[in-house]
Amino acid sequence: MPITDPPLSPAMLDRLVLRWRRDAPSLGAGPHQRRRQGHSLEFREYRAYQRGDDIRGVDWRASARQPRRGDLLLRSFEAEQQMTLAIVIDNRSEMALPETMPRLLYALWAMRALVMLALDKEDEVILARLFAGPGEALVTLHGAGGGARARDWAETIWAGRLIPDPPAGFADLRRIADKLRPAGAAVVLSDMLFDDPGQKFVQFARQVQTRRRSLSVLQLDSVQHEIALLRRAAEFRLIRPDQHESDDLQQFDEAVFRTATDAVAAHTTRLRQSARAGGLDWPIDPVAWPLPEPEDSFQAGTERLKSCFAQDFPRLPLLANLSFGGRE
Amino acid sequence: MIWAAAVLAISALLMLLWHMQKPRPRRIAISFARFVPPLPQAPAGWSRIALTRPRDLSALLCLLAAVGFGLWALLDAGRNYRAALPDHLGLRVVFDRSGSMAVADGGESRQTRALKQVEAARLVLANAGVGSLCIEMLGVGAAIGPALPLALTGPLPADDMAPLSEGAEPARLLEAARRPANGCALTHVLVITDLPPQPADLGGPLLLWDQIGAAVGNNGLRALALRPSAFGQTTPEIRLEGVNSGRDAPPALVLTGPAGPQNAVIYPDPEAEGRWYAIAVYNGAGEYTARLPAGDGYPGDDRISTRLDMPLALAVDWQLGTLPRPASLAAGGAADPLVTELAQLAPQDLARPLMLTYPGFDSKGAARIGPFRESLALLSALNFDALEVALPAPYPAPLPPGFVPMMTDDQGGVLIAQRADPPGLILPAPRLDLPEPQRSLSLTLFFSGLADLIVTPPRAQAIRWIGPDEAPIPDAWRESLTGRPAGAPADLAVLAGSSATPQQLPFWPWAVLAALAALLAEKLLRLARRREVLQ
Repeated sequence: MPITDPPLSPAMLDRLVLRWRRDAPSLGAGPHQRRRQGHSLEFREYRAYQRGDDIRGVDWRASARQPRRGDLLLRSFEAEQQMTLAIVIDNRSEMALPETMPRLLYALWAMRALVMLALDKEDEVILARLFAGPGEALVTLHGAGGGARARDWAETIWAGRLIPDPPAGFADLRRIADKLRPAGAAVVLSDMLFDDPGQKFVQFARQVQTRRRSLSVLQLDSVQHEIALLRRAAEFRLIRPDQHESDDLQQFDEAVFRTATDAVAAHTTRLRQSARAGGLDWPIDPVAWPLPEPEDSFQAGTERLKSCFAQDFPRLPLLANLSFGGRE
Repeated sequence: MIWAAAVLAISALLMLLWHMQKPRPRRIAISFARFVPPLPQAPAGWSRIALTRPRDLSALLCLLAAVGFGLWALLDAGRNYRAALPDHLGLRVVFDRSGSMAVADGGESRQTRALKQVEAARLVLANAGVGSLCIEMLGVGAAIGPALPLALTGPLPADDMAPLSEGAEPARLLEAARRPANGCALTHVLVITDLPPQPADLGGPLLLWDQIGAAVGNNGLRALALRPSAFGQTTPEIRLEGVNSGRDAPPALVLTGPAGPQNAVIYPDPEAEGRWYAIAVYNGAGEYTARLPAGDGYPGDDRISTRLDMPLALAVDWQLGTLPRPASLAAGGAADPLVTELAQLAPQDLARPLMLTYPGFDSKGAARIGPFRESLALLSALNFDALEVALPAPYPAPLPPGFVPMMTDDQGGVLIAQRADPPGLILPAPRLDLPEPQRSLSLTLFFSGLADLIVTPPRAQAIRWIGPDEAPIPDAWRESLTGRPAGAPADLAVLAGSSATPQQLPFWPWAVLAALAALLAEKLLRLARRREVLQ
């Protein structure tokens, strides 16, 4: 069994699908609901604004010409027949950490599960890397064969974590945004700790959120887990991102890591604010990694990660926002 | 023992230290490293060893168990060794003094090598460190010599150990090994010989068989037989037999008799590997000497001598009127077999070897052949169909004492009778004046019977082997096989061990096995850990 197969039972996946079919018509938000109302590029008619409608659909110029002030007109479009879901995986080598519970594995499981749900609804799925690296930069999935292609792509990404390449730049994110249909959504699976000096990710995020499309971020946070590892080791040689290993033996220091934690929080806050453009779904609480066990091996750690995934994934707000079911 | 235990103890300590050393500082990569300010350095004086829980307790326990089992094996082996060391060693050396021990191979004689082995055995005993020792020596040739005590040091009694012009045999050596001890309580018997080892249980002392000597090719004379002529159709012959060991037989031998020397061609015996024979002419009674070409391994079997007394022609006391004596048969007297007719038989003639004829073909006999004994050789030449057509009349009188019927007619009349001792035969008289087939039948029956009576099979003759020094060598044929492969030398170190079976089986092999199993378990544990890490 491939390691990237999501640790969700078929029964759990069936429950998620049924929940979506039950809940989707009643949910007021999400790309699937908007698709039914029609948000294609083809204008159909004006209608009166009602509570719950997306304020971005109001035609302010036409509303100003209304006899009664305050009557807002909403533009409606021809309905889309298909939604596009773009899943973007953070494929930096840091995602393979922690060694015993790699976040990349969690991200790939989430990606595979989302693909199953989307393909079940006959949606189009685009898989993309956030950074340059092994594997196809962009994979478009349709129909029955999509699951197998997603598995192969995920295995390639997983195998690529072992290639000690220097830090790679962003992939062609504009191309991903261009592939999205108006009734589309993008999901980014990442720890969101990457550096974005050229604002490429921010631009991508904003571009995705135009035309009433949404961007969901599944942030995988293992900072406390890794700090606990360092605290237990007490003395260690820390490997920095430039792969330079200090010759000196270093010592754990609570104050230093408090500072680091604050810096991480500040970074994510800045990134969240920069990326926000009306359609951003990035919960304040990320998916937090459990603390390490004393004798964690890769095998034991992976098993623990599997149980965490099986417990967390069905409750992710992301699913509800994508109208893929989610918490009740 | 002490040093081995010390080595094992040190090994165990080193293993303990190895497993209790602090793990090397880990190289740790973290995902948010770029957000981490510089960390303080760890204090200096970091030590590898610490009294802490072993890194891999199960592997350490396996290794300690292996060391423990090793110690146990050492202690157990030492205990058995001390228990097995005897208080007394008694050695009997059975020393082969046969003629073949003088054979030189590889630059020295077998006897010289045997003496060296005796010296080596004495040295082993002297260094055994036991309380009491004794050595005795028995020289064996054709007979077993007296038991001679041997000192642990000093010169050996060379005269009592010199090769004799005699042949020895393995049975004689074993007999010497089994002889009761003569004042020396035996624990070991060392047989030093060039003969191949013989399995034997001496019922107490441990038998060590030391076969010395390399293979040296040899030809030897083994037997001589005389085959007389039969009525002049063949001449009397002398058949000489021999063996070849480790080399081909020579092309011919020389037989010297009353009429001078003659060369006899040697043929390999098709029925026996390593055997050959030669045929020579018998020239009448006298002294005969056969000689093989010299220069092979053992010279004692190259020359034999015998006296042959058989006359050139067989003699018969021929008193038969119906047929003249054949020219190849000499006219014999009262000591020779008698050939006569029933009518001329005197009562005292029945005590002699006898061929008695009766006028069977003079009258018509019965119609059919009755019971007969197939074993009778003279019947093999007869055509029974022809005989039944012209069946002779039965013997007309009661059979003399000792004769039994060999062929009868269907009326119960005796046609042929035989006596075993002295040899005797009754059959119809030959007639030259009869019509065929009676004439041929009567002659065939008569001469076949006469051949059975007077022609003896080839007889082996008593021979003497003559050595190069003209001295006779008894049983020299036993020494002929000097070309046999050399056997494995005896392990003289056994002499310093115990001859008795240990009272208790040693446990150390099991301890060694358990130590190996513990090492294997440790290896498997490490492999399992490594695989887990690689995954």
